[in-house]
Amino acid sequence: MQKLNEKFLEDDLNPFIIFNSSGKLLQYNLEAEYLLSFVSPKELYELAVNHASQSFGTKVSQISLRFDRYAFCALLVGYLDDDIIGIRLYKEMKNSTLKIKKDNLTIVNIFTLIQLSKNSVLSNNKQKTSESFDPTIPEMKLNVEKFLKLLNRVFEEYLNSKEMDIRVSLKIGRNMLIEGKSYSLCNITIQDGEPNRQLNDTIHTLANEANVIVIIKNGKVIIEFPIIT
Amino acid sequence: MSEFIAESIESKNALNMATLAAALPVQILIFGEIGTGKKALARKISPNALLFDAQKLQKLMLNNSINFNDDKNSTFIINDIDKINNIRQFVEKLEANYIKIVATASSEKDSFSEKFAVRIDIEPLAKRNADAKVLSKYYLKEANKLFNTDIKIDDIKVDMSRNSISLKESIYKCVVFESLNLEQVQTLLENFLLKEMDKKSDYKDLLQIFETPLIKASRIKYKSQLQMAQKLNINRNTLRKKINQYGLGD
Repeated sequence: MQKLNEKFLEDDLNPFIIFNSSGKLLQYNLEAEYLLSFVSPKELYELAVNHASQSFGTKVSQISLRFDRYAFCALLVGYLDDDIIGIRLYKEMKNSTLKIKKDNLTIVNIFTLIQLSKNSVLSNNKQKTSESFDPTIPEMKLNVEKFLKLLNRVFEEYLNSKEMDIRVSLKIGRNMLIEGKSYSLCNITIQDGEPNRQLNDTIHTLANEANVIVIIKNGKVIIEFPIIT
Repeated sequence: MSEFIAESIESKNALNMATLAAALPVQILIFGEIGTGKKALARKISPNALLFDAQKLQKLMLNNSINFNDDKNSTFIINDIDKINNIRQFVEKLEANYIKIVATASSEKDSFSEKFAVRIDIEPLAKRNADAKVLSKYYLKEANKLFNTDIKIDDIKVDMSRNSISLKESIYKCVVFESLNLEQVQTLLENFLLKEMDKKSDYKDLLQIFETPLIKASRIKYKSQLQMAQKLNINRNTLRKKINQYGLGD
């Protein structure tokens, strides 16, 4: 019985972590191990403490959270004594999987789309822009209309920036598995030095429609998508 | 002039965007004031597209008087899309029929531009000096040829308040005025007076029509009121009175 419980927790798609009273990791499952590569134990421990019930027991909080590419919609925090506290984060599954709708895909040059979008949105702005594009990135299949609308919306976030940096690169060492096929990943990273940048839900909705993932990391907006040729 | 002029950096950027967007399956919005060259740029994007006025097309669609079956995957240039209501629905209906849209607009309402993946802004002509120069030369050459005159560009005060429309108008007016001989001026005045007489018939009121240009011209020629009175052979006090009466004082 005990072993089955542990096996269930270990294989759960939702991250589960147990901390001691000083915030040290005591136990975590595979999914949590992956999450911990994006977020510090301290941050998760503080999250658990802040959402713990007033007295011993468990408490569920409906809360929208984002760490890198992962979106969570709820938390379960529990403690039965003063020594250990556990937290389980419930994934928002719709944001964590990528399905490619093969219709409406057109072979395009990604740099053309960036140029078009930047000029569409920021043509009247005088901000200093630095660009670094990897020329080895091949032309790829994208839903151009949706992708441009997403890019436009992201660039709108930078309307008041004095300067911005745009980088387009291949993501080395990571591939994306879609319908049994492995694809290289391309990243567009945009930053303006603002460390606390937040993205609203419209951007994530547009990202879903465009079959891409948008994450925010240290104020940088990263648009990640598979290179389908 | 139906060609899009791209001499200034601003219009070169717009043309560059249009060229890039032309090859993509996206809805395009060209935004700019009246007379900035929106239609000409739309034609650059899609030279063979069907051209519609937005209000007329909307009416056709509402009355089911247009069948899109033959137009699937074709491009429509839609002028003045901002002049219709329910732009979002209008665009969605065309999208559902696989129509690529190149729309023009001069004002924005209800953030309808979000419906378009590409937005190309065309700056007013007053901010595009190089383009204004080319257009002025083009229209002046055309007008000089038509009226057999030889007016120089420096002699013209170009009006760019309505961009190329007022620019053309101001150049043509200037050339026409310069080309008139005495007989034509008198005929013009005669026709004008005939129309004015419907409103006022008093000799003194009508006299202003002759005297205002006379005073203005003599002021340019003779500079001081003293000299003007001497040359026009008119009493200085009478001249001063008329200047005040017609509101021509400095």
